[in-house]
Amino acid sequence: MNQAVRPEQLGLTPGKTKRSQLKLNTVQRSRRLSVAETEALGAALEALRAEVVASLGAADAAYIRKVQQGVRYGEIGSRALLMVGGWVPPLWLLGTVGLGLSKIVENMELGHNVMHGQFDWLNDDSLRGSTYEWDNVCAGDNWRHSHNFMHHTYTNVVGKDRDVGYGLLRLFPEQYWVRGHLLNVPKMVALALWFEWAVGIHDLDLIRVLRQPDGRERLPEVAGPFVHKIRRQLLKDYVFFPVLAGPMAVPVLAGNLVANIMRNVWSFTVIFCGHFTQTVEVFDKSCLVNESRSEWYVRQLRSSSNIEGGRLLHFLSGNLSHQIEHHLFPDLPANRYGELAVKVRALCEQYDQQYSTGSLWRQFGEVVQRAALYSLPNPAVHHLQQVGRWLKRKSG
Amino acid sequence: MSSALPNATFLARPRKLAQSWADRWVRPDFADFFLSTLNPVWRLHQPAARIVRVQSLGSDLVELVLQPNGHFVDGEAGQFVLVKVCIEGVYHTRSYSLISAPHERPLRLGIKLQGRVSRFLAKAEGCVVELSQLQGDLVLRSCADPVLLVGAGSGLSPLLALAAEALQQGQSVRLVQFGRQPLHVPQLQAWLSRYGDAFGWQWLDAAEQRFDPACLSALPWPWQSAQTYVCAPPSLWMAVQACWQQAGMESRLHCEQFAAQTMAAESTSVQPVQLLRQHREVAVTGTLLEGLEQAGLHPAHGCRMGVCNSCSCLKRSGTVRHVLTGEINTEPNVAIKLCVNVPVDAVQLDL
Repeated sequence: MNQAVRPEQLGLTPGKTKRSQLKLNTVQRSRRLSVAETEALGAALEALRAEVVASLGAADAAYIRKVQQGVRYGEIGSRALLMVGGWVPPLWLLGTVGLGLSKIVENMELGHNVMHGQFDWLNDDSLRGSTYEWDNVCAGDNWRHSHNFMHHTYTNVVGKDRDVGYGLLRLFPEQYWVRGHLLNVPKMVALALWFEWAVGIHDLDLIRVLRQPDGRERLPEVAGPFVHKIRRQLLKDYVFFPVLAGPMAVPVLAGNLVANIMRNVWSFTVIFCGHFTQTVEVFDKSCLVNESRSEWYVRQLRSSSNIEGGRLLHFLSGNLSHQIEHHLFPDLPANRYGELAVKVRALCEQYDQQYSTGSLWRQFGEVVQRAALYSLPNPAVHHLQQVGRWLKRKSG
Repeated sequence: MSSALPNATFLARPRKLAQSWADRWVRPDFADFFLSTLNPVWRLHQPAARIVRVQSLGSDLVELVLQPNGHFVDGEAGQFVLVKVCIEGVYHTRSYSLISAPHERPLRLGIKLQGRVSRFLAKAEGCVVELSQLQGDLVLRSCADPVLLVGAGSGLSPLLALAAEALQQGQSVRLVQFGRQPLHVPQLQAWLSRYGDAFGWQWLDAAEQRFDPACLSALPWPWQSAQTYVCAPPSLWMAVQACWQQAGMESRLHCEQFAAQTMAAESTSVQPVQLLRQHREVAVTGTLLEGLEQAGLHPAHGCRMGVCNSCSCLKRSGTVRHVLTGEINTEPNVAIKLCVNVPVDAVQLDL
């Protein structure tokens, strides 16, 4: 039960709350389930979870340790290559791409999954979810709060899940339009290039903090961990390693910058494909009141979409290509999502729930489409959609 | 030979500088990874040891011989150490008593073969394990009183260490073991022949008698004037405590109990939860999170439904039940989610 949320907290009157998700404009592709069906689906998913938990063992432990070692040696090797052969363009490229891949895997397959507590059962202090610090400007504690708690609990609830648009972009008609949204697409490009900074500042909710009367006094306390992490990351990538490299300082600095941008763009792409394709739903705050665990499962299902691809895609995306499975079972080791996907898909077919999936190009194309379309206010969007339908009738 | 880093004194200052720099700027696990590739027991701060030899002490007792790195600090006789070992990818922690004298190297630990971890360690020669520093309050009190030791089973390990230390200091020592058969007989006989009247020992057959004032008065030694040290399972400890309480001699009684697996049946009644960092105890009904909040505390939490991991904290000992899956967890030193676990017996949290 979502006991954390009471009607009064959402500005709703207790006892007079209508559980209505149909008010919203989002296309409903999943059949509305009865209470009994919801509970049955929830129970089936719990059974899947129990099955995986019972089978966790040496193979899963070995997998994550291999990833951890791969990241360590990959980073050491790439940085060494940059420091030794930085002025030789092919070597610089190799070192930079290697470092970028190492950062991607460390952030997505290792860091994000470990911080969810997926590997807490190993009792390994270097893989403990509550204390892991990742190679990213975002402080671990801020991420744990904004992602593990806020995003996974209030997924796609407009007004509660601040990941919707990241406070910058308008991606759904339910979001209130302001003139700044006309710049959706350029903002998206900037967000992609500097994504780790957006992620880092995201949890601070600075606009809300500064609006409060004691906002300015609280700012050092709120921003403290982030500032501390910024200092560490900047010193590491842009001072320490370049200085250590001596004559190779410039290629090392350039390589580190490009590797960070590589990681930013890739993680932005994968993360935005997870909840902002054409077929996902958003929800009204009222759905949170007295939401049962089964209803939480169904909301996770409807607000997430997968990316189809081979093993390399799954690995490089930190298994976030299995976004649906990740949102259903965020604390199960991500290497198990592939086998779970088959069973979850079967359950969706059984209960007439959409299982949103598609290739990377298609999914990301839909995200870009959303950003472009909803940069306009809703009346303009309706006109455009009417024009679009007219053109389609004309041609077909 | 193994140590944290070369121990030569002329390297002490640069070593200290390197350590403080590493503390500030390098992730501890990366520093340990780097050091351990050079030498498996080298660490930045963590005491670690290689299992050099495993010797059987008869019945189901085993002696583990460990060569520690330079971070392991001497303690006192009678203390125990936490051993953390990796079995099939998962780390398990257990406490074992030091049998060897505190300054002696290599270390010797006494282990009773009773579970997964102990059986693994018994076959783990060459393995590297992580250690805590020596801890525990069962140490010799500094006074001239004779020493009386009462113990059973694996509890005899710390008592033997206390006996060795006390005998070396010239104190008079008496040992009472309680069990189905006498243990460590060769060692005890050796002490008898070496120290003569200063040492005495007796075995009481657990099958034939209970520990009560009658059997206590049957002992041929003046136990009232002694400092008594006990390390035993709960049943024996309670019996000894009752006898001493009856005689009003509690101040001369000292005990150590390992995290006891209590026989408490699974219940939803009030359970005591000890918060180690805050040095306080809270009575909890319902989930750990609800109980702590009712007591006026504010542990970190998030979704309150077992998903986001915000309330995850270390359970040092005790038994908990997961409210959603029904799973019972008795392992020491594991992370649990406070919002979905109910204490089944006394629980210690690292909070």
